[in-house]
Amino acid sequence: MRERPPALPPRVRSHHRVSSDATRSGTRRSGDEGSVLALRSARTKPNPRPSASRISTRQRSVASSRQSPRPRNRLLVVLAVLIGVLAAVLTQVGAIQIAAKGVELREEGARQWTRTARLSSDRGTIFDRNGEELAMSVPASTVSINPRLITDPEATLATLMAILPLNEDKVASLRNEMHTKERGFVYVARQIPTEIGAQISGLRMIGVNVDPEARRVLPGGDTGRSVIGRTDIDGSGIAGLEMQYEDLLTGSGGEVTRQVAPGGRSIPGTEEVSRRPVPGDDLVVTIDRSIQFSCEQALINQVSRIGAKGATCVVMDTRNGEIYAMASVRRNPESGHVEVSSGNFAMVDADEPGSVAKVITVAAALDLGVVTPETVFSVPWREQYYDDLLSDAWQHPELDWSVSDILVTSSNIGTIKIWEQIGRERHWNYLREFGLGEPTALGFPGESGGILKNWTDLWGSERVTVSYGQGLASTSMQLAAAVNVIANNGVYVEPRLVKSVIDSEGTVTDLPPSATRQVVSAKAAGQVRDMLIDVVCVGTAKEARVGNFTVAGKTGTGLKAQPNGTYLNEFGQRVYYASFVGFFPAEDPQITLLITVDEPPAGSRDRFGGTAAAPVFARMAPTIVHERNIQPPENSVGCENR
Amino acid sequence: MLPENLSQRRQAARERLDLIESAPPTRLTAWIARRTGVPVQVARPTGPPPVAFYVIATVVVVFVMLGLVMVLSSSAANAVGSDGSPYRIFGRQVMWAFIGVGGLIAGAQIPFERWRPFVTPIAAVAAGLMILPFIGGIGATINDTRAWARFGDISFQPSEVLKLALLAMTADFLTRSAPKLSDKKEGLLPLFALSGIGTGLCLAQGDFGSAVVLGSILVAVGFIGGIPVHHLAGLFGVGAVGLGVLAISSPRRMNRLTSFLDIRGNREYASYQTYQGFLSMANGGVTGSGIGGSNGKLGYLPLPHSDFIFAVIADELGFIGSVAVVGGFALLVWFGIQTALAAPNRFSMLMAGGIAAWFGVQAVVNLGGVSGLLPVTGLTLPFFSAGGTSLFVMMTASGLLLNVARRAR
Repeated sequence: MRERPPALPPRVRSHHRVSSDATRSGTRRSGDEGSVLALRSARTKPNPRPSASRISTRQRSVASSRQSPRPRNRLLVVLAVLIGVLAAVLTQVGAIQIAAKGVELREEGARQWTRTARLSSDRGTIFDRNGEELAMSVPASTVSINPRLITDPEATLATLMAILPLNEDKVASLRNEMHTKERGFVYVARQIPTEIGAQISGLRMIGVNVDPEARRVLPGGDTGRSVIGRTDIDGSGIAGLEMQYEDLLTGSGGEVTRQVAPGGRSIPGTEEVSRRPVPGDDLVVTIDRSIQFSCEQALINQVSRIGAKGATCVVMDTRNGEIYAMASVRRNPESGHVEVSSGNFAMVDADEPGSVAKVITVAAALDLGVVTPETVFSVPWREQYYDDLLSDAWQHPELDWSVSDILVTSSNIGTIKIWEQIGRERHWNYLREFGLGEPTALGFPGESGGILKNWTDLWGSERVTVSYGQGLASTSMQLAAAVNVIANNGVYVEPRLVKSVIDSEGTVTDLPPSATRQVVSAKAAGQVRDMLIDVVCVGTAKEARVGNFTVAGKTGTGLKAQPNGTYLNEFGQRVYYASFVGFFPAEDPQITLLITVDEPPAGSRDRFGGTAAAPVFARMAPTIVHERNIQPPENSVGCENR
Repeated sequence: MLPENLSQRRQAARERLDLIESAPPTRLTAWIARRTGVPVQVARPTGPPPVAFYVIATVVVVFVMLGLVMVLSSSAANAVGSDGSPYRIFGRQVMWAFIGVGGLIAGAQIPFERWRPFVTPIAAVAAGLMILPFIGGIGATINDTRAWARFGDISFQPSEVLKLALLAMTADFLTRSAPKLSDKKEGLLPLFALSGIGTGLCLAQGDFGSAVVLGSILVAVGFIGGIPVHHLAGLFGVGAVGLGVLAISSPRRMNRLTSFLDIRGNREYASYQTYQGFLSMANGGVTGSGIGGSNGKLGYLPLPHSDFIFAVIADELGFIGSVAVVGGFALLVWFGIQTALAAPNRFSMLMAGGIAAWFGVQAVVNLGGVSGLLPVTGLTLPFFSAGGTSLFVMMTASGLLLNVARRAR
């Protein structure tokens, strides 16, 4: 600027001229070309032309000086660049914070620092028909550790071992976890009594947690456990009704979320129950705990006494299909003791029903009218059918037997004669109508539907043996429901295990009653019933007689097909399956009862339905009569005149 | 009458001038005058300061106070689980803020003429201080950068001081050789020497970010000062080549410099910090998680109180807070440049422009790193990041800017 000659005319003296002058006259350093003082003094000069004063007094700063290049432009470039980059930064930050990308990142961040824990809901109780608990959840404590927070493993272990019964393997694995610190959560003991849990939490050891966790218990011990099933350690049903009604019993679990710092430390104040747990519904089943118990005890006694492998029993209400008891016992192969089995073999095992199925054949023939109870057949003791020489259980001359006689004596050949009157397809249809060949309406987990080949698929002598219960298989439940048709005036009623459901607010919802269907006429059912009374009074089931009541029933002595395809096991012995299905009071049936004994010893007299199964019926009946308050009808005649 | 009148007026003006020149000095300027022996002749502003003065002062005050809050918020969680006090970092930052207030007032009050003759020795001392981190016993290395000297509990980062000293020295030489800048020997060469020494010292400490900022602001001042653009382009080229050589020479540095191109892909290691910063910022949304509400600072996000304090601010104050911070820097740059545009003389224009550019460049390098637009360089966010020297020097620089703004016309 100093280089610029002061060539401007005096009237338009520009400020930088003024400043130059002032600089020269002032004491400023030579490097300073702008002088505030000079400019200010210049500004104080009165201007004779006020209209132009705005222009002349508007001081141009040094940045706007006309030197080349002008700093003003370059400053503005710097300004523009920096503002532009800052705007770009803000745009990017905005994209991260509020745009769609931000939502994604936010979720990812939440995943990183949010932990969700399940809040278990209280599992519903399973009640018997009288409101007694069969299975319930009780409060318990679960002890766990966070190995990362444990500073003194040995001291912690010693304390835990002093209170909890920990085996050596468990101690070793806990010690390993505490030293490696790889996991943040390890169970020490689950579902221990709450008092012990309180004792441990009272010690306030860092890294040792005691949390409430319910334990599933069966207050009745083993009673009914085959049917009730069980839960795993986490409280999920894995068998039986616990499994079948898992969704109802569980309710909906709640959720608690919390935020954690790296390492898993909770951030105070972030714990939040995001979903409240809803307790599960209670289940009221049709089981009567007392009948169930007596059933199981009777089976255990009988199986123990005769040395069989196992037994099942079904006690059913004749009219509405409710199951009062369903028991399975098995000999424990290790200890040799007979115990209530965890599997419900009354529904999951299917065996050839044997002679009990003759009831269906006879009822079908009577229903169709192809025979009457008095129709007489000439029955030899054995006869060739297809490839096999079939025979009755005992040798007898060829005799004229009525239909009734055939059923009471349980003649195989006689039953075939009756069956021949029906025809194969119609007989098969009746078997289906009686509920064989498909699972019952119970829908029990693992329930078997039995084996009933289509009539066109039967081959060889199978084609005729189905008439007396060989060549097809049924579960105990199916068989009881089938014979119940006779007791229930020809009407099939579906079995029923669950009466009602009680939700968490106490509202009771009854499940729909069992469906029914007429299978044979009431007349035909009555005729068969009369024959079945004779079976008990004078036939094969005399040991099933019960005091004041008239009992009707049918024994069965089936042979179990072996894995080798024959009815002989590896020792060359027949393997029996003894059964008895009966109902009483015969005049007005209320209870239908089935007993099967699995593999009674082949050589003993107890291998037959009449000797292995029927006596159990007689032994159980008093409890049922008492529990269900059953009175003998006035017209009861028992076995007189038979 | 007229000439007489005119001479009377001139006399009145002169008296008025004397009045102004002999206006009572402030206590500080009088003290300095006594110490230096230079007579007090201060141009006192006659009117109220312009808008820029108030805007800059307000932004700086708000930034420093908000910065203290955020340093406390983001550093306190570090103390959880240790024996340290949650107020340790905050306490030191407060102490430096008080010292910084002194620096700010001194910068605003002391006329540039008082210290301008000494810019060269000041810069030499500042360069000398750069050796401190290498002296055994007091030198300290943080994150591979040997940029700190420790005196007891107080650490000192000489590179921050160097930035200001070299800025002043550059402004001074650009003022003195203003007419001859188109001559390479008068303009480009000294600028090249100064920026070369500065960036070289920073790089010797391993402080890549400071080197970039120092180089940028010196080039910016040279640009403003009038060094021909094609000269600067040469300097820029040398810088770019040097940068490239440095990057290629170390695969690890190369990785650091390129990982920002794929932050998601490198989120497990190379871009872990940036990615965690993203998660924190995204967590803030529009309105933020509230002061103290950030989860990233609990250990997910490394250095939440220094390099990545902006991520914590964006998390806890939301996009509103981000706009405030970035907007605040934009205001500083805007009114800093306005101050330079209205500066009363060339030196103060260059100082104001350089300081405004400095604030802008350092904010951009830091925020660009946090937001994933640029590589992460380990540079502080001015006024916010924990780091006493940085805060003190930034506040002093704000004082210098205010000094110019007060006298701007």
